[in-house]
Amino acid sequence: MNNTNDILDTQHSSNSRTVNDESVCSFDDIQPFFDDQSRVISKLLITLGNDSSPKSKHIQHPRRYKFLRSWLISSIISVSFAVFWGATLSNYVYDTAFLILSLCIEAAFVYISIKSIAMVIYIIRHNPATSSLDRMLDCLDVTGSRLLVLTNPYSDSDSMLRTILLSIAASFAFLIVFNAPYTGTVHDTESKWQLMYIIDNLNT
Amino acid sequence: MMRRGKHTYNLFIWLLTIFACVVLAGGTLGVVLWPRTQGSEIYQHYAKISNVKASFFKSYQVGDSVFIDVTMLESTDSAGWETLKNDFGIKPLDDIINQAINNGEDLISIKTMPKFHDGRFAHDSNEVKDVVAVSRKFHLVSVFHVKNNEEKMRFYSTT
Repeated sequence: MNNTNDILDTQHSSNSRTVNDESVCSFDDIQPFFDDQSRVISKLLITLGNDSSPKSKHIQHPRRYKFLRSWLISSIISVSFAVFWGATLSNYVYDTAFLILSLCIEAAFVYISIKSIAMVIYIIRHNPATSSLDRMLDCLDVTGSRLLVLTNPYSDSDSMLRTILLSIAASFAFLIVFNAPYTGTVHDTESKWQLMYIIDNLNT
Repeated sequence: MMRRGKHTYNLFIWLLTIFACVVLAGGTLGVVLWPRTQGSEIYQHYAKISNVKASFFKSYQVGDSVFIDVTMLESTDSAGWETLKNDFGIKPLDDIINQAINNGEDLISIKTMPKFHDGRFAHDSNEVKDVVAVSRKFHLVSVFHVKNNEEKMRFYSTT
């Protein structure tokens, strides 16, 4: 029964790989931190990071889906914010201060997104497919493995640096996409307020 | 042997990351720095006049569904306002309305005008006229460059 609550399944199956006993972590160990998601995930990452054979870790139902759900939600929120931010600030792209602010904030959101998606794919990758949902999610694995190579969730300094670089580059890409309809625009913030004033008064 | 292979693989991943970054960042810089004709003809005309401040908005969103190019002209002194009044045929107002404007009220009038070509408003029966809004208080002229009658109708219904 206890095994069903384990967040990391360390049981040997007929085709499982060798398990490093030092990396065994039961759900009871991390339960006090479970309310604080970030700490739990940190602990999970530390545990996985200490393991010499990470593929042996199987996160059991239903706990693994709580992680998946949390990471998916954070990914969706981050991507949405990045898109929203790109769309909102694209009007001000010729204003240098707004451009820098936009880039910084977008880069942060994209960074979180990439790490979150990489983590989701990591969890999917290192768990055997046991249901149709698993099999469906495994479809992400092929492309996800490429992303994982670039942004390893172990967060060593190299992969972190690569992720930061990719985040900044992706933010530039957001600006290209959202600024494309506005190329040729020449105005400052004051003119924009004046135009909004005119249109507001036409409405009334 | 294994170590050298891993080292090569890491180098490859780094090169791939840098290549992706250079392509994305280079593309953005290219878009920003590429020389292009900015603004409308009317914007380019008034950008050269010292006492008129010209601005141009590409695909400005009005309401939910109308995306329209707008040229904004603001006179920076009385001579500039006289230029705009002459060019756009802005008629003088009654004393009562002038007094109200002097007391801080504003009057925004709207009219249609032929499109601006080759330094003048050239009437062409095949072209849809632009919509011009004038703020008497702030000495502002906004030219909404409508592309066709359907867009003009949607613009009117939004405003």
